[in-house]
Amino acid sequence: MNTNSENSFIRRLCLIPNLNGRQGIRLIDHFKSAKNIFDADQNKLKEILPEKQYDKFSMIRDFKESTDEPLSFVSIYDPEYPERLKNISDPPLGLWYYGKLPEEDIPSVAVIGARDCSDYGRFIATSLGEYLGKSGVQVISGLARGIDGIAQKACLDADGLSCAVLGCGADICYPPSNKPVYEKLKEKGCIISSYPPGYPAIAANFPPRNRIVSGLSDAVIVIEARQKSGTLITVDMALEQGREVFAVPGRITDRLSDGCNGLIGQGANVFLSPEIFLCELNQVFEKKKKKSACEGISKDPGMRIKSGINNPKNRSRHREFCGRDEALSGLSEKEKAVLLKLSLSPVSTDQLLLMLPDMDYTELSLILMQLLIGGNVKQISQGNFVRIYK
Amino acid sequence: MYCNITSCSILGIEAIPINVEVDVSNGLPSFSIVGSPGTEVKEAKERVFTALKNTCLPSPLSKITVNLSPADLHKDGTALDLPIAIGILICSGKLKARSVSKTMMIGELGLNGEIKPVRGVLPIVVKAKKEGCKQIIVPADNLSEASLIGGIDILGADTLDSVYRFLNDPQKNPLITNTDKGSIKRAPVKHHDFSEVSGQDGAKRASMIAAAGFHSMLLSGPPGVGKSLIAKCIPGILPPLTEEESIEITSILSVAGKLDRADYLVKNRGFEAPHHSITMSALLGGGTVPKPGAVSLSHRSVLFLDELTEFDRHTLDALRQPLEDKKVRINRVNYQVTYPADFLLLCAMNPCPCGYYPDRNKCSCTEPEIKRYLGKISGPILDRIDLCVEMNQVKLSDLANKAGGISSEEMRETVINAREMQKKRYASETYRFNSEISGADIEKYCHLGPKEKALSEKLYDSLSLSLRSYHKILRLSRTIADLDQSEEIQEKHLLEAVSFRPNPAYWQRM
Repeated sequence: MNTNSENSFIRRLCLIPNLNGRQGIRLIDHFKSAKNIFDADQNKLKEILPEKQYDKFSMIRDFKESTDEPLSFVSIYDPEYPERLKNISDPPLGLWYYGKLPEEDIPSVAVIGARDCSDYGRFIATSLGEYLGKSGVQVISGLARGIDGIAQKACLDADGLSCAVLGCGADICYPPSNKPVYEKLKEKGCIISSYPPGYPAIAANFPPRNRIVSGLSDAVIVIEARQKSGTLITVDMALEQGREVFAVPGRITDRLSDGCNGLIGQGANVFLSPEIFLCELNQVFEKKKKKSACEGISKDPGMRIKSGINNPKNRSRHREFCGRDEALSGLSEKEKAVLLKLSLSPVSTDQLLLMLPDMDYTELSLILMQLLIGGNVKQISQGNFVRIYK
Repeated sequence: MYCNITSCSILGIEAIPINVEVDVSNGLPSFSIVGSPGTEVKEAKERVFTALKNTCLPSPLSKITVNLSPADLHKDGTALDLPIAIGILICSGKLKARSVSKTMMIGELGLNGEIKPVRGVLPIVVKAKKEGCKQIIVPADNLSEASLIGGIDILGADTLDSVYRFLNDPQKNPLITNTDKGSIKRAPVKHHDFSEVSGQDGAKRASMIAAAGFHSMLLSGPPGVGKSLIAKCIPGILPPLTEEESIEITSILSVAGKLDRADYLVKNRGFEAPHHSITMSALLGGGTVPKPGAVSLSHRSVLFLDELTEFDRHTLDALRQPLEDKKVRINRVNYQVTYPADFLLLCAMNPCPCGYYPDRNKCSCTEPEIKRYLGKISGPILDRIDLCVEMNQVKLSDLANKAGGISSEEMRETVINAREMQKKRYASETYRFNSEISGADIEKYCHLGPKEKALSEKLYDSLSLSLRSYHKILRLSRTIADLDQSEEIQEKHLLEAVSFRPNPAYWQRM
């Protein structure tokens, strides 16, 4: 049997969008090869396939694919198919992708969270993405607005590896606002989709997409999530797939942190800092390596994390991430006083005035403007400020 | 027989002297009015004819021709009824032509011969004086308004008969003159006071700056924080009207027919707050017979647009020209009218569709939703807004700890002082407020010292300002310096001005 042509038959089979991986594999097993499905008797197929899928199948039956398709395709029977994905309960039959598929011997982490994140989430996503990128950990996410896109952008900006799993055809940039990240991923990272090219982004695509996000990763970090959110669906899938889940704790008064705090309550790992996380990821990865070595799945998954928690350099970085002392040097007493009242959640000028009773509005606005020019604070609406941690 | 009577018609807010020429000659009985009369003027025929009959001065059964000169100018309004009636009386020999020399007359006639008030009396009287008339006959109801102008005899008439008898023998049958000039006591208008507003120091400070330099202001904030209250307080801290401004405003209201009869001279700056469903013609002025719109009714006063994002986008965009030119020009095929529209623009809006951004515990509006919401306000309109302030919810417990804020009285004093500085500075200019400094004069009036220059350059770069917004900041800092009684713009003035610029991170989420 010619594998190449077999592959192209599988590729054609994957054009049936509501044919899930399990069904596809069963179908191929039944007919012994994908080619046989296309050669098989119509009536026999009609018996096996549900009506809708059969209709779609008859449509693609004589479909000739253009050869200059820029998208690559990999089927579950190919050796390049991501190993991690093979081990989940319902792996997709095939994947369309741009760029380079995630590497097996490099740890990969899914960074997920709310689309409408707060500045706290934005800050964590940026610093985490950057840190993981620098540490050589692959960042897997869904390229959604908010946390997903921010983390992936930060990872790419730090010359790290990142992979986006889309809920539409891989040739479509959804959401369009993340076009710059999409283009960069296409060039330097990877864009994966189990949906055929040109397939539109519809709501029903996203939960199945989420299982690929968690499936491709060794651990999942949830940065911000509301009580009921799509992010928590991904977490459920990650737990089913046996992935470690880390939640970034938030204040109990922040509705955007309810999901994360809830996860911690249910026993998820607490994300304390990128360094501590990396140390724990190390252990997770080592365990997996041992396990896979015993099972003989992978040849030699050499750990390629560039640095760990034991590195003294990392310790100082850790302090910087949470610490605030160095950033204050070079500021006047009053500027320091204002800056210390600010945090990552927005504070209004009125609130500041109440916290700093010996300042009047004019004086406060002068200090805020000076801090703004100095890049110490960010003005998020007209009268609300957050601190920038450098 | 022919005669000629002086009257006046209103075009825009300007009074145009009209020569009412009446001719009565032999021929088949007819009555025609020529000289571009509008609908109301054409209808004068019936009113005049019947009023004369009911005053027992029947018009002659001859060929009556009335020409309104200049004949190519469109004429509206009912003020020409009285001169036409008197013209017919002269031509039919019941009055002497001499009796109306150097007399201007205006008035609408009722069918029973009574004289009813008309619009735009104030500008007409001013015009009559300029034209060299010795006396002007006005409807008795308009007498007090007309009496604001001195140097001309102002006579009030309530019926056609009284005018007829007066013109026959002025000594024996005098008309009403305003004897109680200036004696009408007006209750001072009560504005809301800033001491009623708790907290909100930022909005108060911005209001003071807006009032001092006539800078347009946008208040944003969640529902119920007191945006409208702040706006309502502002007329109370604006500098008092000058005599000239009073007459200007009164003229507009008179033309619009909105003058309060009991309060004929406007002494206070007004507050016009149209609902957001307002149409473009109602905002700018217009109609078949053009009338001033909200922008002109708030001339030298406050125009408050609450819920700015709910206004029709095109209506808002139409504000660009009056904001720039300080006047509105309305064109009709045959003529055009110009209304002054130098108003202080105040706007209020919520920061996002639900109203609570950036409090993410309450607000779950998505970025695209907020973007769409803010997009209702076009860039050019935002560009013309000098001060942007956000107001936030104040906790009741916090209010208790806070001493009562500054009152309107204190603010008004500071504003007047700043106004005086501007008056001196712009004595030789056509403009009067810092917000109006032309681009060419910015260097001259907003001079920066070396230290300030360096800061302004730093601001320009680090905040990536456009030249227009940079100039806006300079004008604003000029006003802030004036409030400080400082001739020089200092660093702190610049910095405070910058804090009021529209925050690009929020507005340009596009």
